[in-house]
Amino acid sequence: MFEHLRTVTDPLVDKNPVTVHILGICSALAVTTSVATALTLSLALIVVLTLAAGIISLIRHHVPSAIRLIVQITIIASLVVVADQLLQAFAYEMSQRLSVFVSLIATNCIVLGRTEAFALQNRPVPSMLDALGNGAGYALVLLVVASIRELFGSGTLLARPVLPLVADGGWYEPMRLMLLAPSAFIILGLLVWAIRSLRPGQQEAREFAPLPQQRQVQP
Amino acid sequence: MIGPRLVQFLLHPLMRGQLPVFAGLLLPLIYRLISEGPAIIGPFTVLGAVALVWQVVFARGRGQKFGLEGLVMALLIALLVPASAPVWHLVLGGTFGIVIGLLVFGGHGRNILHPAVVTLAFLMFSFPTEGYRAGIALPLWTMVPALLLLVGSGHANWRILPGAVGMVMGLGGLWNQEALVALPGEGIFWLVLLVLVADPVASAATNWGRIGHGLLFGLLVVMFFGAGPALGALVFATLMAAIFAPLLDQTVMALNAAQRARRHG
Repeated sequence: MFEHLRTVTDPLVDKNPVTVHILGICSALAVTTSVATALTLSLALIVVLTLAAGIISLIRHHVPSAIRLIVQITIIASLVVVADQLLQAFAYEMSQRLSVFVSLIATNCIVLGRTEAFALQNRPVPSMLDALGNGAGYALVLLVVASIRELFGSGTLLARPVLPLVADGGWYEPMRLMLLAPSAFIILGLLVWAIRSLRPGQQEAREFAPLPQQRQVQP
Repeated sequence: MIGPRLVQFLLHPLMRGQLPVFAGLLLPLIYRLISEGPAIIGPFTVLGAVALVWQVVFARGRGQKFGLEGLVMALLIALLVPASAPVWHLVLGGTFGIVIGLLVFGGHGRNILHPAVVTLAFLMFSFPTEGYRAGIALPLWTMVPALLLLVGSGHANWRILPGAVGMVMGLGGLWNQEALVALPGEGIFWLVLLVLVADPVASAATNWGRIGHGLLFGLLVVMFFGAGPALGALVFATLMAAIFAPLLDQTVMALNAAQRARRHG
Protein backbone atom coordinates (compact mmCIF):
# COMPACT_ATOMS: atom_id res chain seq x y z
CA MET A 1 0.00 0.00 0.00
CA PHE A 2 2.78 2.35 0.98
CA GLU A 3 4.63 1.53 -2.24
CA HIS A 4 1.55 2.38 -4.29
CA LEU A 5 1.29 5.67 -2.47
CA ARG A 6 4.89 6.43 -3.38
CA THR A 7 4.14 5.72 -7.06
CA VAL A 8 1.51 8.43 -6.95
CA THR A 9 3.30 11.04 -4.84
CA ASP A 10 6.82 10.76 -6.28
CA PRO A 11 5.98 12.45 -9.61
CA LEU A 12 4.53 15.47 -7.81
CA VAL A 13 7.88 17.07 -6.94
CA ASP A 14 10.76 14.61 -6.81
CA LYS A 15 10.21 13.04 -10.24
CA ASN A 16 7.95 15.70 -11.73
CA PRO A 17 7.63 15.16 -15.50
CA VAL A 18 7.74 18.89 -16.26
CA THR A 19 10.33 20.29 -13.87
CA VAL A 20 12.69 17.31 -13.73
CA HIS A 21 12.34 15.65 -17.13
CA ILE A 22 11.31 18.90 -18.90
CA LEU A 23 8.53 17.12 -20.82
CA GLY A 24 5.21 18.52 -22.01
CA ILE A 25 6.50 22.09 -22.20
CA CYS A 26 4.57 23.20 -25.30
CA SER A 27 1.13 22.74 -23.83
CA ALA A 28 2.40 24.16 -20.52
CA LEU A 29 3.12 27.39 -22.41
CA ALA A 30 0.02 27.47 -24.51
CA VAL A 31 -2.83 26.89 -22.07
CA THR A 32 -1.54 28.65 -18.94
CA THR A 33 -2.86 32.14 -19.67
CA SER A 34 -5.79 31.34 -17.39
CA VAL A 35 -6.36 28.85 -14.58
CA ALA A 36 -9.58 27.52 -16.11
CA THR A 37 -7.97 26.36 -19.36
CA ALA A 38 -4.99 24.89 -17.48
CA LEU A 39 -7.32 22.98 -15.18
CA THR A 40 -9.37 21.58 -18.06
CA LEU A 41 -6.35 20.45 -20.03
CA SER A 42 -4.78 18.89 -16.93
CA LEU A 43 -7.96 16.92 -16.24
CA ALA A 44 -8.14 15.76 -19.86
CA LEU A 45 -4.50 14.68 -19.73
CA ILE A 46 -4.92 12.83 -16.43
CA VAL A 47 -7.92 10.90 -17.77
CA VAL A 48 -6.26 10.06 -21.09
CA LEU A 49 -2.95 9.09 -19.48
CA THR A 50 -4.49 6.91 -16.79
CA LEU A 51 -6.76 5.03 -19.20
CA ALA A 52 -4.01 4.63 -21.80
CA ALA A 53 -1.58 3.29 -19.20
CA GLY A 54 -4.19 0.79 -17.97
CA ILE A 55 -5.10 -0.46 -21.45
CA ILE A 56 -1.50 -0.71 -22.64
CA SER A 57 -0.47 -2.50 -19.48
CA LEU A 58 -3.31 -5.02 -20.00
CA ILE A 59 -2.20 -5.93 -23.50
CA ARG A 60 1.54 -5.60 -22.85
CA HIS A 61 2.27 -9.32 -23.37
CA HIS A 62 0.49 -9.40 -26.72
CA VAL A 63 2.11 -6.38 -28.38
CA PRO A 64 5.03 -7.27 -30.71
CA SER A 65 8.00 -5.16 -29.77
CA ALA A 66 8.53 -3.92 -33.34
CA ILE A 67 5.17 -2.16 -33.58
CA ARG A 68 4.65 -1.25 -29.92
CA LEU A 69 4.95 2.51 -30.55
CA ILE A 70 2.27 2.42 -33.24
CA VAL A 71 -0.05 0.45 -30.98
CA GLN A 72 0.52 2.87 -28.10
CA ILE A 73 -0.07 5.94 -30.25
CA THR A 74 -3.25 4.41 -31.70
CA ILE A 75 -4.65 3.76 -28.24
CA ILE A 76 -3.65 7.19 -26.94
CA ALA A 77 -5.02 8.99 -30.01
CA SER A 78 -8.36 7.17 -29.78
CA LEU A 79 -8.70 8.20 -26.13
CA VAL A 80 -7.77 11.78 -27.03
CA VAL A 81 -10.44 11.89 -29.71
CA VAL A 82 -13.01 10.67 -27.18
CA ALA A 83 -11.90 13.29 -24.64
CA ASP A 84 -12.01 16.01 -27.29
CA GLN A 85 -15.50 15.02 -28.45
CA LEU A 86 -16.77 14.88 -24.86
CA LEU A 87 -15.38 18.34 -24.22
CA GLN A 88 -16.97 19.72 -27.37
CA ALA A 89 -20.29 18.15 -26.43
CA PHE A 90 -20.46 19.31 -22.81
CA ALA A 91 -18.18 22.34 -22.60
CA TYR A 92 -18.17 23.89 -26.04
CA GLU A 93 -16.80 27.30 -25.04
CA MET A 94 -13.92 25.79 -23.14
CA SER A 95 -13.09 23.54 -26.08
CA GLN A 96 -12.95 26.62 -28.30
CA ARG A 97 -10.56 28.35 -25.90
CA LEU A 98 -8.33 25.29 -25.79
CA SER A 99 -8.42 25.05 -29.62
CA VAL A 100 -6.04 22.31 -30.79
CA PHE A 101 -4.35 21.62 -27.50
CA VAL A 102 -6.69 18.86 -26.37
CA SER A 103 -6.02 16.96 -29.61
CA LEU A 104 -2.31 17.61 -29.11
CA ILE A 105 -2.37 15.54 -25.90
CA ALA A 106 -1.74 12.64 -28.31
CA THR A 107 1.72 14.06 -28.99
CA ASN A 108 2.43 15.03 -25.38
CA CYS A 109 5.74 13.46 -24.44
CA ILE A 110 4.54 12.67 -20.91
CA VAL A 111 1.83 10.32 -22.19
CA LEU A 112 4.02 8.29 -24.52
CA GLY A 113 6.90 8.49 -22.06
CA ARG A 114 4.94 6.93 -19.20
CA THR A 115 3.27 4.23 -21.32
CA GLU A 116 6.57 3.30 -22.99
CA ALA A 117 8.71 3.47 -19.85
CA PHE A 118 6.31 2.16 -17.22
CA ALA A 119 3.07 0.65 -18.47
CA LEU A 120 4.80 -1.76 -20.89
CA GLN A 121 6.73 -3.34 -18.01
CA ASN A 122 4.23 -3.26 -15.13
CA ARG A 123 0.89 -4.62 -14.07
CA PRO A 124 -2.23 -2.50 -14.74
CA VAL A 125 -2.83 -1.12 -11.23
CA PRO A 126 0.69 0.22 -10.61
CA SER A 127 0.73 1.55 -14.20
CA MET A 128 -2.48 3.47 -13.68
CA LEU A 129 -1.27 4.82 -10.34
CA ASP A 130 1.98 5.93 -11.94
CA ALA A 131 0.03 7.58 -14.75
CA LEU A 132 -2.22 9.28 -12.20
CA GLY A 133 0.80 10.60 -10.31
CA ASN A 134 2.50 11.91 -13.42
CA GLY A 135 -0.70 13.53 -14.61
CA ALA A 136 -1.08 15.15 -11.21
CA GLY A 137 2.51 16.39 -11.34
CA TYR A 138 1.86 17.93 -14.73
CA ALA A 139 -1.36 19.48 -13.44
CA LEU A 140 0.43 20.89 -10.40
CA VAL A 141 3.02 22.70 -12.52
CA LEU A 142 0.38 23.92 -14.94
CA LEU A 143 -1.75 25.29 -12.11
CA VAL A 144 1.18 27.11 -10.48
CA VAL A 145 2.24 28.72 -13.77
CA ALA A 146 -1.34 29.54 -14.75
CA SER A 147 -2.14 31.11 -11.35
CA ILE A 148 0.87 33.40 -11.60
CA ARG A 149 0.15 34.32 -15.22
CA GLU A 150 -3.55 34.96 -14.71
CA LEU A 151 -3.07 36.86 -11.46
CA PHE A 152 -0.44 39.25 -12.81
CA GLY A 153 -1.54 39.25 -16.44
CA SER A 154 -5.20 40.08 -15.94
CA GLY A 155 -5.56 40.61 -12.19
CA THR A 156 -8.02 37.72 -11.80
CA LEU A 157 -8.04 34.14 -10.57
CA LEU A 158 -10.51 31.70 -12.16
CA ALA A 159 -12.07 34.83 -13.78
CA ARG A 160 -12.79 36.34 -10.34
CA PRO A 161 -11.19 39.79 -9.87
CA VAL A 162 -8.43 39.73 -7.23
CA LEU A 163 -6.29 42.78 -7.93
CA PRO A 164 -8.21 46.05 -8.58
CA LEU A 165 -7.37 47.11 -12.15
CA VAL A 166 -6.53 50.63 -13.24
CA ALA A 167 -9.29 50.38 -15.85
CA ASP A 168 -11.85 49.86 -13.05
CA GLY A 169 -10.44 52.60 -10.84
CA GLY A 170 -7.99 50.41 -8.86
CA TRP A 171 -4.21 50.61 -8.71
CA TYR A 172 -3.03 47.48 -10.49
CA GLU A 173 -1.91 47.78 -14.08
CA PRO A 174 -1.94 44.31 -15.72
CA MET A 175 1.39 43.16 -17.11
CA ARG A 176 0.85 42.31 -20.75
CA LEU A 177 4.05 40.27 -20.80
CA MET A 178 2.41 37.68 -18.54
CA LEU A 179 -0.11 36.87 -21.27
CA LEU A 180 2.62 36.24 -23.85
CA ALA A 181 4.35 32.88 -24.25
CA PRO A 182 7.85 33.99 -23.10
CA SER A 183 6.54 34.62 -19.59
CA ALA A 184 5.66 30.94 -19.26
CA PHE A 185 9.22 30.00 -20.14
CA ILE A 186 10.55 32.47 -17.58
CA ILE A 187 8.19 31.32 -14.81
CA LEU A 188 8.93 27.67 -15.57
CA GLY A 189 12.65 28.40 -15.49
CA LEU A 190 12.37 30.16 -12.14
CA LEU A 191 10.25 27.27 -10.83
CA VAL A 192 12.88 24.72 -11.88
CA TRP A 193 15.56 26.91 -10.31
CA ALA A 194 13.64 27.14 -7.02
CA ILE A 195 12.94 23.40 -6.89
CA ARG A 196 16.55 22.49 -7.64
CA SER A 197 17.79 24.90 -4.99
CA LEU A 198 15.52 23.23 -2.44
CA ARG A 199 16.27 19.69 -3.69
CA PRO A 200 19.97 19.65 -4.64
CA GLY A 201 19.64 16.00 -5.64
CA GLN A 202 17.92 17.11 -8.86
CA GLN A 203 20.83 19.26 -9.99
CA GLU A 204 22.69 17.96 -13.01
CA ALA A 205 26.46 17.59 -13.03
CA ARG A 206 28.36 20.53 -14.49
CA GLU A 207 29.24 20.05 -18.15
CA PHE A 208 32.42 22.03 -17.64
CA ALA A 209 34.05 23.99 -14.87
CA PRO A 210 34.70 27.69 -15.49
CA LEU A 211 38.35 28.65 -15.78
CA PRO A 212 39.87 30.21 -12.67
CA GLN A 213 40.06 33.98 -12.85
CA GLN A 214 43.48 35.02 -14.13
CA ARG A 215 43.40 38.71 -13.31
CA GLN A 216 41.36 40.77 -10.97
CA VAL A 217 37.96 41.95 -12.18
CA GLN A 218 38.04 45.56 -13.35
CA PRO A 219 35.34 47.82 -11.96
CA MET B 1 53.37 64.55 -28.08
CA ILE B 2 49.77 63.90 -27.18
CA GLY B 3 49.53 60.66 -29.19
CA PRO B 4 51.43 58.25 -26.91
CA ARG B 5 49.86 59.81 -23.82
CA LEU B 6 46.37 59.25 -25.27
CA VAL B 7 47.14 55.66 -26.17
CA GLN B 8 48.53 55.08 -22.70
CA PHE B 9 45.35 56.55 -21.18
CA LEU B 10 43.01 54.52 -23.37
CA LEU B 11 44.87 51.27 -22.71
CA HIS B 12 44.99 51.78 -18.94
CA PRO B 13 43.59 48.73 -17.09
CA LEU B 14 40.86 50.85 -15.54
CA MET B 15 39.53 51.62 -19.03
CA ARG B 16 38.78 47.94 -19.58
CA GLY B 17 35.87 47.87 -17.16
CA GLN B 18 32.68 49.86 -16.98
CA LEU B 19 34.34 53.19 -16.13
CA PRO B 20 34.46 54.54 -19.73
CA VAL B 21 30.77 53.69 -20.17
CA PHE B 22 29.93 55.51 -16.96
CA ALA B 23 32.02 58.51 -18.00
CA GLY B 24 30.49 58.57 -21.48
CA LEU B 25 26.97 58.60 -20.04
CA LEU B 26 27.64 61.59 -17.79
CA LEU B 27 27.12 64.21 -20.49
CA PRO B 28 23.68 62.88 -21.55
CA LEU B 29 22.78 62.75 -17.86
CA ILE B 30 23.83 66.36 -17.31
CA TYR B 31 21.95 67.39 -20.45
CA ARG B 32 18.75 65.77 -19.19
CA LEU B 33 19.27 67.26 -15.72
CA ILE B 34 19.49 70.76 -17.21
CA SER B 35 16.67 70.37 -19.73
CA GLU B 36 14.15 68.55 -17.50
CA GLY B 37 15.17 69.35 -13.96
CA PRO B 38 16.18 66.93 -11.21
CA ALA B 39 13.23 64.50 -11.73
CA ILE B 40 15.52 61.94 -13.39
CA ILE B 41 17.48 61.48 -10.13
CA GLY B 42 14.51 59.54 -8.70
CA PRO B 43 14.50 56.67 -11.25
CA PHE B 44 18.32 56.52 -11.16
CA THR B 45 18.33 56.16 -7.36
CA VAL B 46 15.61 53.51 -7.38
CA LEU B 47 17.22 51.47 -10.15
CA GLY B 48 20.70 51.81 -8.68
CA ALA B 49 19.47 50.61 -5.29
CA VAL B 50 17.64 47.65 -6.87
CA ALA B 51 20.71 46.65 -8.89
CA LEU B 52 23.06 46.97 -5.92
CA VAL B 53 20.82 44.96 -3.59
CA TRP B 54 20.58 42.06 -6.05
CA GLN B 55 24.28 42.18 -6.84
CA VAL B 56 25.16 42.06 -3.14
CA VAL B 57 22.73 39.17 -2.58
CA PHE B 58 24.21 37.12 -5.43
CA ALA B 59 27.80 38.09 -4.63
CA ARG B 60 27.38 36.92 -1.04
CA GLY B 61 25.61 33.74 -2.09
CA ARG B 62 28.23 32.80 -4.65
CA GLY B 63 31.36 34.27 -3.10
CA GLN B 64 31.98 36.48 -6.14
CA LYS B 65 32.84 40.12 -6.66
CA PHE B 66 31.00 42.61 -8.80
CA GLY B 67 31.79 45.83 -10.62
CA LEU B 68 30.03 48.94 -11.78
CA GLU B 69 27.78 47.13 -14.26
CA GLY B 70 24.70 47.43 -12.06
CA LEU B 71 25.09 51.19 -11.70
CA VAL B 72 25.73 51.58 -15.44
CA MET B 73 22.55 49.62 -16.11
CA ALA B 74 20.62 51.86 -13.71
CA LEU B 75 21.97 55.00 -15.34
CA LEU B 76 21.16 53.75 -18.84
CA ILE B 77 17.60 52.82 -17.97
CA ALA B 78 17.06 56.08 -16.07
CA LEU B 79 18.25 57.95 -19.17
CA LEU B 80 15.88 56.11 -21.51
CA VAL B 81 12.61 55.89 -19.53
CA PRO B 82 10.30 58.82 -18.78
CA ALA B 83 11.10 60.47 -15.45
CA SER B 84 7.46 59.96 -14.39
CA ALA B 85 7.70 56.15 -14.49
CA PRO B 86 6.01 54.56 -11.42
CA VAL B 87 8.42 53.24 -8.81
CA TRP B 88 7.01 49.71 -8.80
CA HIS B 89 7.53 49.43 -12.57
CA LEU B 90 11.16 50.38 -12.08
CA VAL B 91 11.67 47.99 -9.16
CA LEU B 92 10.07 45.10 -11.04
CA GLY B 93 11.78 45.86 -14.35
CA GLY B 94 15.16 46.48 -12.72
CA THR B 95 14.93 43.25 -10.73
CA PHE B 96 13.98 41.31 -13.84
CA GLY B 97 16.82 42.85 -15.85
CA ILE B 98 19.60 42.40 -13.34
CA VAL B 99 18.56 38.91 -12.18
CA ILE B 100 17.31 37.27 -15.39
CA GLY B 101 19.53 39.27 -17.73
CA LEU B 102 22.79 39.15 -15.80
CA LEU B 103 23.06 37.40 -12.46
CA VAL B 104 21.53 34.00 -13.26
CA PHE B 105 24.22 33.49 -15.87
CA GLY B 106 26.95 33.97 -13.27
CA GLY B 107 27.58 37.70 -13.40
CA HIS B 108 28.99 40.25 -15.80
CA GLY B 109 30.87 38.68 -18.70
CA ARG B 110 28.79 35.49 -18.79
CA ASN B 111 25.48 37.10 -19.73
CA ILE B 112 24.12 36.86 -23.28
CA LEU B 113 22.11 40.11 -23.29
CA HIS B 114 22.74 43.54 -21.83
CA PRO B 115 20.65 43.75 -18.62
CA ALA B 116 19.42 47.23 -19.55
CA VAL B 117 18.02 45.83 -22.82
CA VAL B 118 16.25 43.09 -20.86
CA THR B 119 14.73 45.66 -18.48
CA LEU B 120 13.64 47.97 -21.29
CA ALA B 121 12.10 45.13 -23.29
CA PHE B 122 10.31 43.94 -20.14
CA LEU B 123 8.87 47.40 -19.47
CA MET B 124 7.87 47.91 -23.11
CA PHE B 125 6.14 44.53 -23.39
CA SER B 126 4.48 44.63 -19.98
CA PHE B 127 3.22 48.20 -19.93
CA PRO B 128 2.67 49.21 -23.56
CA THR B 129 0.53 52.22 -22.66
CA GLU B 130 3.05 53.91 -20.35
CA GLY B 131 5.18 55.54 -23.03
CA TYR B 132 8.34 53.47 -22.50
CA ARG B 133 8.65 53.01 -26.25
CA ALA B 134 8.70 56.73 -27.01
CA GLY B 135 12.24 57.53 -25.90
CA ILE B 136 13.80 60.91 -25.25
CA ALA B 137 15.21 63.75 -27.35
CA LEU B 138 19.00 63.82 -27.07
CA PRO B 139 21.16 66.02 -29.28
CA LEU B 140 24.00 64.37 -31.18
CA TRP B 141 26.78 66.32 -29.47
CA THR B 142 26.00 64.84 -26.06
CA MET B 143 27.20 61.46 -27.36
CA VAL B 144 30.58 62.66 -28.71
CA PRO B 145 32.53 61.93 -25.47
CA ALA B 146 30.94 58.48 -25.26
CA LEU B 147 31.89 57.76 -28.88
CA LEU B 148 35.52 58.77 -28.31
CA LEU B 149 35.86 57.00 -24.95
CA LEU B 150 34.11 53.77 -25.91
CA VAL B 151 35.61 53.31 -29.36
CA GLY B 152 39.02 54.52 -28.17
CA SER B 153 39.17 52.14 -25.24
CA GLY B 154 37.92 49.28 -27.40
CA HIS B 155 34.78 48.89 -25.28
CA ALA B 156 32.57 49.44 -28.34
CA ASN B 157 34.19 47.76 -31.30
CA TRP B 158 34.29 50.14 -34.30
CA ARG B 159 33.44 47.35 -36.75
CA ILE B 160 29.86 47.25 -35.48
CA LEU B 161 29.17 50.92 -36.12
CA PRO B 162 29.46 51.46 -39.93
CA GLY B 163 27.24 48.50 -40.79
CA ALA B 164 24.48 49.73 -38.48
CA VAL B 165 24.60 53.34 -39.66
CA GLY B 166 25.00 52.38 -43.33
CA MET B 167 22.14 49.90 -43.24
CA VAL B 168 19.72 52.34 -41.59
CA MET B 169 20.61 55.28 -43.85
CA GLY B 170 20.96 53.16 -47.00
CA LEU B 171 17.65 51.32 -46.72
CA GLY B 172 15.99 54.53 -45.51
CA GLY B 173 17.24 56.35 -48.61
CA LEU B 174 16.25 53.46 -50.85
CA TRP B 175 12.68 53.52 -49.59
CA ASN B 176 12.50 57.32 -49.27
CA GLN B 177 11.94 57.23 -45.51
CA GLU B 178 13.26 60.53 -44.25
CA ALA B 179 12.76 59.58 -40.60
CA LEU B 180 15.15 56.66 -41.07
CA VAL B 181 17.78 58.70 -42.87
CA ALA B 182 17.63 61.26 -40.06
CA LEU B 183 17.78 58.60 -37.31
CA PRO B 184 21.63 58.43 -37.08
CA GLY B 185 21.57 62.19 -36.49
CA GLU B 186 19.87 61.68 -33.13
CA GLY B 187 21.71 61.10 -29.89
CA ILE B 188 19.43 58.28 -28.77
CA PHE B 189 20.43 56.16 -31.77
CA TRP B 190 24.09 56.49 -30.83
CA LEU B 191 23.36 55.88 -27.15
CA VAL B 192 21.70 52.56 -28.01
CA LEU B 193 24.28 51.64 -30.66
CA LEU B 194 27.39 52.43 -28.63
CA VAL B 195 26.40 51.17 -25.21
CA LEU B 196 23.75 48.50 -25.79
CA VAL B 197 24.46 47.03 -29.25
CA ALA B 198 28.25 47.25 -29.13
CA ASP B 199 28.46 46.01 -25.55
CA PRO B 200 31.53 43.75 -25.57
CA VAL B 201 29.75 40.93 -23.75
CA ALA B 202 26.49 40.89 -25.70
CA SER B 203 27.81 41.61 -29.21
CA ALA B 204 29.56 39.30 -31.66
CA ALA B 205 33.14 38.41 -30.80
CA THR B 206 34.75 37.76 -34.19
CA ASN B 207 35.70 40.61 -36.52
CA TRP B 208 33.51 39.53 -39.43
CA GLY B 209 30.80 38.59 -36.95
CA ARG B 210 30.90 42.16 -35.61
CA ILE B 211 30.38 43.57 -39.11
CA GLY B 212 27.48 41.17 -39.57
CA HIS B 213 26.08 42.12 -36.15
CA GLY B 214 26.04 45.82 -37.11
CA LEU B 215 24.37 45.08 -40.44
CA LEU B 216 21.78 42.85 -38.77
CA PHE B 217 21.01 45.51 -36.17
CA GLY B 218 20.53 48.12 -38.93
CA LEU B 219 18.27 45.81 -40.91
CA LEU B 220 16.16 45.02 -37.84
CA VAL B 221 15.84 48.72 -36.97
CA VAL B 222 14.56 49.41 -40.49
CA MET B 223 12.09 46.53 -40.22
CA PHE B 224 10.77 47.47 -36.77
CA PHE B 225 10.77 51.21 -37.40
CA GLY B 226 7.43 51.24 -39.18
CA ALA B 227 5.77 49.35 -36.33
CA GLY B 228 6.11 51.87 -33.52
CA PRO B 229 8.09 54.64 -31.82
CA ALA B 230 11.84 54.92 -32.34
CA LEU B 231 13.15 53.66 -28.99
CA GLY B 232 10.94 50.57 -29.15
CA ALA B 233 12.34 49.70 -32.58
CA LEU B 234 15.92 50.32 -31.41
CA VAL B 235 15.58 48.20 -28.26
CA PHE B 236 13.86 45.25 -29.97
CA ALA B 237 16.43 45.38 -32.77
CA THR B 238 19.21 45.31 -30.14
CA LEU B 239 17.58 42.36 -28.39
CA MET B 240 17.19 40.31 -31.58
CA ALA B 241 20.66 41.18 -32.90
CA ALA B 242 22.27 40.17 -29.59
CA ILE B 243 20.40 36.86 -29.64
CA PHE B 244 21.76 36.14 -33.13
CA ALA B 245 25.32 37.28 -32.32
CA PRO B 246 26.59 33.82 -31.22
CA LEU B 247 25.18 32.33 -34.43
CA LEU B 248 27.07 34.93 -36.49
CA ASP B 249 30.26 34.07 -34.59
CA GLN B 250 29.70 30.37 -35.12
CA THR B 251 29.16 30.91 -38.85
CA VAL B 252 32.33 32.99 -39.16
CA MET B 253 34.34 30.37 -37.30
CA ALA B 254 32.92 27.51 -39.40
CA LEU B 255 33.71 29.40 -42.61
CA ASN B 256 37.21 30.11 -41.36
CA ALA B 257 37.76 26.47 -40.46
CA ALA B 258 36.46 25.34 -43.87
CA GLN B 259 38.73 27.82 -45.64
CA ARG B 260 41.76 26.67 -43.68
CA ALA B 261 40.91 23.03 -44.29
CA ARG B 262 40.69 23.70 -48.02
CA ARG B 263 43.97 25.61 -48.02
CA HIS B 264 46.00 23.20 -45.95
CA GLY B 265 44.22 19.95 -46.69
